[in-house]
Amino acid sequence: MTDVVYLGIAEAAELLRSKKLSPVEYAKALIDRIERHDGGLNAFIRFTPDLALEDARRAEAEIMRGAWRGPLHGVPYGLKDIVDYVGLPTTAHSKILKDNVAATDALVTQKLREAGGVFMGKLSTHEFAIGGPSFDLPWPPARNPWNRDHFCGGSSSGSGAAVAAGFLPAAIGTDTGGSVRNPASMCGVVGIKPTYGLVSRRGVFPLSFSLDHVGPLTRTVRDNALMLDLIAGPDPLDPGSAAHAGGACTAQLGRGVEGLRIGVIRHFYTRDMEADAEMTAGIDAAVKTLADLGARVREIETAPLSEYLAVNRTILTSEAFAIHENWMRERPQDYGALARERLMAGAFVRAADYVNATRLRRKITDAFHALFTDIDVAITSSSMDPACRIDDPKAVEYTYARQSRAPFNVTGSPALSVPAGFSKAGLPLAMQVVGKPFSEAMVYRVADAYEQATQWFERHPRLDAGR
Amino acid sequence: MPNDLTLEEVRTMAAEIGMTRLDDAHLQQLMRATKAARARRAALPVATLEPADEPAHVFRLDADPDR
Repeated sequence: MTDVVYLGIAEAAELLRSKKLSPVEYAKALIDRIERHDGGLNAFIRFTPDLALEDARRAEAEIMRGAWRGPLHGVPYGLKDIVDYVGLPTTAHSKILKDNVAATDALVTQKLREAGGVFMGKLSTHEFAIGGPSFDLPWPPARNPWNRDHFCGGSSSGSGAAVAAGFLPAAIGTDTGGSVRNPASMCGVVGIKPTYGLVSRRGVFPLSFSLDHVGPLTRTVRDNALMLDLIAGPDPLDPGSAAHAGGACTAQLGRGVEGLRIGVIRHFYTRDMEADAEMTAGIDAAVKTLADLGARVREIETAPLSEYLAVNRTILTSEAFAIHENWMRERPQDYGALARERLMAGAFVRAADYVNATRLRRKITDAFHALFTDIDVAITSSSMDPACRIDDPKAVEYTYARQSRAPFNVTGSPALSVPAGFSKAGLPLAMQVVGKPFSEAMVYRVADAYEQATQWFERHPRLDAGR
Repeated sequence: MPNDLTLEEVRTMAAEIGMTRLDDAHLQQLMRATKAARARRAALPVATLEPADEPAHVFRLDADPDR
């Protein structure tokens, strides 16, 4: 059996359901690991072992009397600290919201609670999901389990670090310009930004209303699909929620890619930006693997990456500044430097520029979705570089912008980051699998076929190595 | 719009929208951020837009089934 701390949801669920694993013992094993190692990783802002044991004991009692709720019953998870959990502060990793106690659960939290999940705590983020990694906030930034001197991506930093470190099999993150997929890429785990509107944003502190998405991070594709199935679905109280039932994310797993049409957006990482050579080699090798598995692969072209990024950043900074304007007036000193500067970028965007960005959004979205007449999924880069050192602000700033995730916040398409090997320095490489709206099952199918062929998820960071 | 802002210009612009509590370090940040935003504006391919190209936010209302 897999070491209990690295059990996946699917594997743990079977053991829990058949009473071969106690939810309490499972939770205790992860609590012990977090207590021993999180001092060096800072994945948690608020670790809640008492709540976890309470949930675990309840799950154990229910399972013992035969009332198994489903695959998350008795399985630990964590929430990025912009997602509400009733009775706990939602800090957004900021002094400004240090005492902001949630009156109710976010809908995502409510769904995970109803699924019988064991809540382990609130996870580090970049301040307000935009400013990080920062050393001038009430809590330190999360670090990369593969090498603690390196950045773990963000803004769902703690979510990526905790899952990679074997603290949790699953965590919830949010993604406005790539913030689920960046830590997934940097930490060597799987993260999805689902179709816009598939998962409710109610009870999640906003960064940019029209670009925000909620998505899970896990160690395997199958676990990710299981998690998304649990949290997806319409919410009449979220104005962006889609009238789509969700579900069926696992329906196509195991079917392989024989005959599927895959378009590779290679110009994002070779022409529009030149990715690190090891990253390019990793993605190209992954594409070859998919072709060897029987997929019909060809290169495709879409708008230049710079256009997508300009649209994303113009909309994001405008909407974000509208949310933060009052605090910028009243207490600018309470922001960390990175969040303050990144949020201030929206202060003087002209109304016409914001509107034009949304007009361009419609055009490039329509054009991107039209590509799916001839392909089933697209493959492209996620980060252009492996994780840089966390204590090198210039390197962080340089790599922060070198990404191709934001295009799919603009188009609203489902986009999943999946590990694609390791650099010579032992840091994770990754690629994205992108689908047409609401085609998460197909995205997972392709990523699962690649994952099964490569088994990168079998590798884990050595937390005792002292790096 | 010129992109050679001075700190005093940024201070005036900030005051006009009520951001009067920014210290000089904050104003330097605002200046850098505003310059970056203006540079980004130049990357928006607005010349490709036709007058009738509508924003992504334009919404569709559902008919009341009782009428």
